[in-house]
Amino acid sequence: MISAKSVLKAIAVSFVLAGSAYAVSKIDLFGLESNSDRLADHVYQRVTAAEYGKARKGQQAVSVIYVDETSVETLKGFGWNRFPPTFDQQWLMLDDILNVGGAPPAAMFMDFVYLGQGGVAEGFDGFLQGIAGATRADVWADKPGCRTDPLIKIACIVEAGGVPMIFAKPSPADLEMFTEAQAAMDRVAVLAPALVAEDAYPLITSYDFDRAKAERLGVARFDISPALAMYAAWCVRRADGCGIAEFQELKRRAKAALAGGEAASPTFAKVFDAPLDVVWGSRPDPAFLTMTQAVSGHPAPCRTGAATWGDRLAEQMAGLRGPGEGARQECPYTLSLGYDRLVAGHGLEPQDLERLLAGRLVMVGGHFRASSDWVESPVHGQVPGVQFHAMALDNMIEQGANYRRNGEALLDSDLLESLLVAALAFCGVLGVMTRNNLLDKAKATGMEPRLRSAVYGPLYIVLFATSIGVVSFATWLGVTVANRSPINWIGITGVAMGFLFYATRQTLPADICGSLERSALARRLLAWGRLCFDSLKFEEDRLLPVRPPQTPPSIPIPETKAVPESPAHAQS
Amino acid sequence: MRKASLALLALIALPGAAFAETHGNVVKALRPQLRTFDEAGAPVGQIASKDLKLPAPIVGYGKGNSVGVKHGGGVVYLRGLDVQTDGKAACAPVQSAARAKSSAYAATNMGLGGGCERPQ
Repeated sequence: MISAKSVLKAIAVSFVLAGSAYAVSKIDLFGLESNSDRLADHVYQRVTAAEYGKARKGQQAVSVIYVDETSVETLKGFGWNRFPPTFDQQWLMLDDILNVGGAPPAAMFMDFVYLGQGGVAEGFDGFLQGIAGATRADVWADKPGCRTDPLIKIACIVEAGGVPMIFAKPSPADLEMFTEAQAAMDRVAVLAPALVAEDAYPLITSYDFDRAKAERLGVARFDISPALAMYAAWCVRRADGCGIAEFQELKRRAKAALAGGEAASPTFAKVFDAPLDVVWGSRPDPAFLTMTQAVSGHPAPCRTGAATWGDRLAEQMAGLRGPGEGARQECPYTLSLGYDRLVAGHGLEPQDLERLLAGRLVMVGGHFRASSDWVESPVHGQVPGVQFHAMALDNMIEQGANYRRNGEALLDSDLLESLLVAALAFCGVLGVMTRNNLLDKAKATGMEPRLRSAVYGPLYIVLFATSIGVVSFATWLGVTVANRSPINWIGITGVAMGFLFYATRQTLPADICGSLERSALARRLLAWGRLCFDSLKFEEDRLLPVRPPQTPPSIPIPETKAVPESPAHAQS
Repeated sequence: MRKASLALLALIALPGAAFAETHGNVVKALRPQLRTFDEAGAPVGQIASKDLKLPAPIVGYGKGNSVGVKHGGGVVYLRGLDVQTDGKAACAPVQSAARAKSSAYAATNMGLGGGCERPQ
């Protein structure tokens, strides 16, 4: 039925279309393609956010302690009469977090950068001593093997019985500076570059600096992001090393390094081979809701979000979702507590503090409205940067080495999407050709009106639905099986639908009308609509006194008309 | 005379007892050294937890909900985090300012909501 020439023609058409789509995506005119990519990812995440982290493994492990404008005002009652607070007060904050949970956290990340550019401030030495005591720097700091790279340093701290304390720093690739204050902190703690891109959270950043430059910038062969640093601290504490052999090896090497041997961390490049594409969950931690009620006296001022993907799909209509502010915004995913609430202790029971801090991965950061450290989350809208790090860490705990890779960073996703467009176009062209061949034969045998009404409408529905189904399946497959960020399903569906409508533009209206005319349901709906219209008209006429009375309308039954023959069927 | 003394004692003690019943007592110190503040939040110094006579009735609250107890002839204010109290921590909601429509995601939502006041 389909000749080889037709197949070749379909291939040619599909590749022309795919080539055009590829060129458009690469040119990225006005940023339309990249924005479309981002929108496709955001909508996918919003719809599927309730499916993330059902076992709550990440929520059980990660907490955020924040400071915001309200905290600073409240903490004036506890001697914070300036901001930033004194080093003594800053250390007290860290000391509180280390101690009040009943057991120390598994690791801490401070999303504050200490550059010491104003000179070494009063109390800085005490601050350093406090950190050194927490990390047990007296055990590992003089061992060269423990200072080879940040991963083995973390493993050494854990092996020495300390709490890994990770501090933010600017990336040496962005800011070629390593101050005395940073060098001092690097001797007793771990520094991690914290300025990360929203669309690709880096895990390992390798540097090609020569030895002199690397020493000047205080970097090893590579740096690790805060989320990976915290995850490493989590995994080296676990007997199974999170199921990653390299973490087991890291533990062994840390022991050797503490014994005075030369050591470096094993290569993690294969395990963490691409940046993380942060997945946001929508179900808040139940502890967050109860603690909010306890410390503030009212329920959390946010919504807990729809529970199923179907409900969330319906929510995508902006009218239902609303502007996404106030009580209509979704609650934060990670359990979060203001430091001022911790200090005041009001409404908190010891078990709350234990739940929040003991053995947890605690991230400390600012929620200041006036700061620029906010990122755009597809599920929650604008969120403070520390919540972004916390969510990235949550992803790693939930998914381990199978975390969702950023598609753009791995391969040419535009090429893959163009190939999908080609496949869809090929099938679409063949489908249209088949339809036209059928029409030709039907005309020859005089069966055309019946065939058109019975077959072609459903054929189009199948054709279009299949295209949408293929795109949906490819999106789902890429995310769940290949652990990649979703393809640009909005763009691909748009291109495929546009092409199909274009290819069938001359015959589609007549075919659809023919099928509708044959449909009993459509006929009934038509009759019902006419009845309603006539009744309304009758009521209107009855209320007008000047008009002569009219007889009630009869209920007409539409006659089945023959489908007008189309002038000519289209060749695609 | 004896009855008058008893009445005077009752007049002095009853309000304090009622207040303590409302606000509870500090029953345990959670740190060996307790930082102390005045009512406005200025640091006063530190006291050893063993020097604090427990249970100590809470006589008031300072700025930031610091816990006031009598010590050394005066009132010192402690961090709630450093001590354990037996009072039920009811919290009165504070009316928060309305946010402008279409404003960006509010920080309060990412944390624990609006403010809190102890019932006085």
